[in-house]
Amino acid sequence: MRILPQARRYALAAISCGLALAVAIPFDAPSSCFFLAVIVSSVYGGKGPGIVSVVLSALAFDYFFLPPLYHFSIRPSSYPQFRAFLGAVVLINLLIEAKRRVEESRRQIDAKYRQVSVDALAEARKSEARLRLIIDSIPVPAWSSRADGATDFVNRRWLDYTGIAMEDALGWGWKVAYHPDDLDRNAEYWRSVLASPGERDLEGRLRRFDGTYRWFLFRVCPVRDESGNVAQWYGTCTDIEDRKQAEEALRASAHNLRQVLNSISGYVTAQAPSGAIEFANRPFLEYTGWTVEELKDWPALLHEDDREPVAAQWSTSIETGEPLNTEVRIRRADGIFRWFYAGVRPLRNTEGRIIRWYTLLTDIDDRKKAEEAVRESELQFRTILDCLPGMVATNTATGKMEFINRTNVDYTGLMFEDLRDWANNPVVHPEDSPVVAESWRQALETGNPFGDEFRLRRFDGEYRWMQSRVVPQRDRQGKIVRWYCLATDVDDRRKAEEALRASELNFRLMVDSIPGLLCTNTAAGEVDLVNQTLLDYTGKPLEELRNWPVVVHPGDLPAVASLWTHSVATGHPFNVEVRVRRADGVYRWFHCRGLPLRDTDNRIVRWYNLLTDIEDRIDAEEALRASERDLGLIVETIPALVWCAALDGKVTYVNRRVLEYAGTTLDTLAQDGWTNFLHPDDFEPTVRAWSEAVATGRQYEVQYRLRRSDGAYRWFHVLGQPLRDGEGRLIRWYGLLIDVDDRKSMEEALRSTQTRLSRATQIATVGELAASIAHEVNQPLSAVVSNGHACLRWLSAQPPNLARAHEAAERIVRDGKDAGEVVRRIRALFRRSAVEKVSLDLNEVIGEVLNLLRGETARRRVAVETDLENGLPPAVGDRVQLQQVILNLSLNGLEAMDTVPDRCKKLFIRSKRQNPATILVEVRDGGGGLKDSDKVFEPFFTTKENGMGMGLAICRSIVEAHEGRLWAVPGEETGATFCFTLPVDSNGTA
Amino acid sequence: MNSERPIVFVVDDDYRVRESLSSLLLSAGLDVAAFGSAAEFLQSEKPDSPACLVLDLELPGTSGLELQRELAEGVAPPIIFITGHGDVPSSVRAMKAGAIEFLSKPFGERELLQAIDAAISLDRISRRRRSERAELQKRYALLTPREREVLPLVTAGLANKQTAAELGTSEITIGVHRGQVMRKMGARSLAELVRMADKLGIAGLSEPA
Repeated sequence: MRILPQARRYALAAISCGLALAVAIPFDAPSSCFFLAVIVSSVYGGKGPGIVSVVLSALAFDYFFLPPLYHFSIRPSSYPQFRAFLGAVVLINLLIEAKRRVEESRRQIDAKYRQVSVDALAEARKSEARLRLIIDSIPVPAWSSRADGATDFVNRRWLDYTGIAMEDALGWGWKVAYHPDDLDRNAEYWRSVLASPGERDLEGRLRRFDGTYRWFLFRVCPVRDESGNVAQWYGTCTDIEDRKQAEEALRASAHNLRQVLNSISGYVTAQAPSGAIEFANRPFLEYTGWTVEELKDWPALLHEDDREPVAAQWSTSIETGEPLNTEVRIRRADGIFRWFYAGVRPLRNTEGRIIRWYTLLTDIDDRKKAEEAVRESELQFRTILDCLPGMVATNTATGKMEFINRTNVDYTGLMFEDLRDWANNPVVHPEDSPVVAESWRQALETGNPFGDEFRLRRFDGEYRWMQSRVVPQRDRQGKIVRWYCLATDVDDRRKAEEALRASELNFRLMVDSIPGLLCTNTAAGEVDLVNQTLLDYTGKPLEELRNWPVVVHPGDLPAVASLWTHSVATGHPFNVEVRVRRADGVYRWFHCRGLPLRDTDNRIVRWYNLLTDIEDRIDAEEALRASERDLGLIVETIPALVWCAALDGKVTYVNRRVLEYAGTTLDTLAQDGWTNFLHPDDFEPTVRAWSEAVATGRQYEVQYRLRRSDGAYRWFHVLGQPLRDGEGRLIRWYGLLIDVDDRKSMEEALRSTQTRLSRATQIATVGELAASIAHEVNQPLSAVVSNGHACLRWLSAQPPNLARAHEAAERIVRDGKDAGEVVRRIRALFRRSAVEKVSLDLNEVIGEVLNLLRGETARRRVAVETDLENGLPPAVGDRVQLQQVILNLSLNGLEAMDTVPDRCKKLFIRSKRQNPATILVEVRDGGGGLKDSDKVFEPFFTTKENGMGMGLAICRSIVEAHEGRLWAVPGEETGATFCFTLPVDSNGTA
Repeated sequence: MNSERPIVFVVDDDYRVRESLSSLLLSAGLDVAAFGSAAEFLQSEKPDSPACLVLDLELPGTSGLELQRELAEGVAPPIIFITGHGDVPSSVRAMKAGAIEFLSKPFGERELLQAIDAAISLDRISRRRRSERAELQKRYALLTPREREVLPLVTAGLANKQTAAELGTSEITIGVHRGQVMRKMGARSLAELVRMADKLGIAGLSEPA
């Protein structure tokens, strides 16, 4: 039923109602007609038109069919009719509406269901397609078969793999893809599977599309229906070819491994984590001759020396899991122990737990022995090196010492460190050290071997000559790796060489420098060799000298030639005097002596000829004779007395003058001795001096008086000189006596004059002091007078002061004594007494003079300073004379300072011991100084207005008479110092 | 301290001379102070009384003559020289330099004591002169500058009028000044004032050219 469009449906309602009216009127069956119209409208027009038709029908019915007719009003009588009618139409409408509604809803439900089933179908189709895709694309061939085993599906991969079409594969067709060998197995498999369904695996080969077979793992899985019967089989084929091959390889490898283990030369064992041996390879078993079982007691196999340490190490390793490396001796089946290197490593699982220990034992016995041998050989080598009588050292490529043998140490007494630093210590002689260092430097630069000779210090400090040889060792690239040095003691050889050279040189020198001409001749008499002297003498080369007669004087030649021929023939020594021509053509006499040298068979080997120049000797002899003659003449004629005495002092010779003087003969003199002629006063000291000289051999010099033949004594100055030989031994005495008598008398006269002069000067000097002396006297005198007056006054006072008077009187006595002392001193100066040398203290003398000078120095305002040495030894001299010297020098000094300012006026006197034998006295002034420090001592030289100019001259003569010296030293700027020395009195004390 | 009791200083390096002289002078009733050297003498404190110095010519260090020269520069007692040498040049020099006496050792008691007497009276006089002069100077110091100007003119004998003209002031003023000067100087008469001015060494009028 179709619903009409809206307008048409309402039109339908209206038309049906009109038709119903039209029909009803004529037929007067309004109810049925209108009923029909409502039905039609409701059925075909739907709800709205139905209602419309209901309304229209009701209206039409009322209008046309109910009284009043043609009016819409209804009579109440017609109400039931109308109600019935209205009810009927409404009911119809409602019924139809209801029915339509039911239908509508049913239709809707239908549509819905229909939609759902379409979707589900599409889904199912899609799922199937996907499944198929999955099945086709899983990387394993898969299939399904019915319960009886006939295949009803194979997937794409299966088809692709086998290259069989689906149709051929279904059913039992798949069998063609099976390896023929496997079919039986397959059949059996199926039988078993079918008998007791369950999951089972089967391995089999499946042919690939290219004809190759590959191993697959077949697996079937039953699908059961609700009743539990197998409905379907599903299966997969998994390609296990690779695994299969790996397994195969593994098997082969394991086999191989075992083969390897059993065939390698090393011994392998495997131990459990506890250490128990689980496996040992065949070689090991063969080696030990034990079974794996027996090996549980492996420590028994070890050498007893190794057993404990190895066991200890092993248990440590087991504990800590550390690998073990050790060397151990293991007993062979035949009982011989061999060295093994044992390396034990743990095998750990992924958790790090040790699951097994593997041991590899390597036979190192040979190596060990080789090592032993090497060590031994090294030791031997070392011993050889150390015993070598040379010094061996090796140095690095840079020249640094790295090894030395013991000889080095023994020789030098130094340690390696010291030797290594040889350049900085004196082990190498300081003169050689730079040379060696330079050689090294060059060698290191060039890489060339080198050698040196140098002196090396021995432990005892002696340097000995060493010859060194240094050679580089190069590696294959030619690079220097090491230097080898050998030093040999060549000291003895060197010394011997030197000695030889020296001796040769000496010999040569000797031969060439002996003043004789040397030549050697052959046994036949021919000239062989000549010395340089001969060549020089003759001025001819050796070749010309072979014809020796050319240099022999023609007059001597025949005799010489015949003698020589004779000597050569007989072997008699050759001895001749011959003239030989010199280079300048002069012939000189030579004494030629020739001696043959004979060999052990007494045959003459060579002649040695020595020609000695005797020309000069002859001359010298002549000259000597002449000189002796002259000398004798001189000795006899000189105006002195000459004597000669033997060692014991006995006179052996005197010249004529002695004899003449003494009026005696040499014999008498020699017999009676010369001392008889001495002056009795001189006898003793002279004899003593002479015997002393003879005893000591020292020069002898004395003065004594000798009696002249007329009995008069004269003074002689006597000198005696010992003559010594080359070794300093005394041979004899020569002496000379010089007559000094005249000089002596003159000296005596001079001395007496001097003494007188000195006296005069002394008085003059004292005269100069008069004023000072007056002062010296006046001082105490003045005091005496004043005290006298005072005394009188005290006495005459009222009342008399006796105490004071007494004091004054005492002072008078005291001062009077002072005055007396002054006078006594002055008198001493004037005293004329003989010169008397006594031992005296010079300081005392100086003190006396200064005492005397006190007034003078005060008057002249001169300060006096002294520095007199304490404990000055005594001197010998005449007190008055020495006083005079010091007084004179001091006065000179005082006067010299007259013109200088007062502050410079200082007189300084010093005494000191100059040396053990001499006393020095210095008098220094601050005056104008000296112009000529020598001239002042000349007589009559003076700078004073009324000086005599004799003072210093006298002083000097006095000092010299005392065996001293007097001199003057000018001061640096001003002043002068007069110094004199006197000998210390050696005999006594002052 | 009795200022009128004279004292004798003895300077001699010889202790014997010092001792004997001291004893002698003491016996003659004189005070004595003896010294061994010029330095000792110079350093000693001296009483303010008439004195004289007995001085040895030859002294260590500063000699007698040098000491004399040194003393001459100030107020010094008269000097009597004694000497053991007695050489002429030294004595002449000593006397020229104002020594009272020059005695050669040994000398007699009388000579010495006479010389000392003379020396002490001389010293008394000079001491008195010195004190007078000091008094005058004290008085002179009291004068005003103007009065000091007036004094020489008055002592030169100028009349008041002349003096006033000279100083350019009135006669009456000069009169007053003059009276003041006489009073302050303690002069009883013009003649006395003139003597005072003379003693003070104030020259009379310096005549302008």
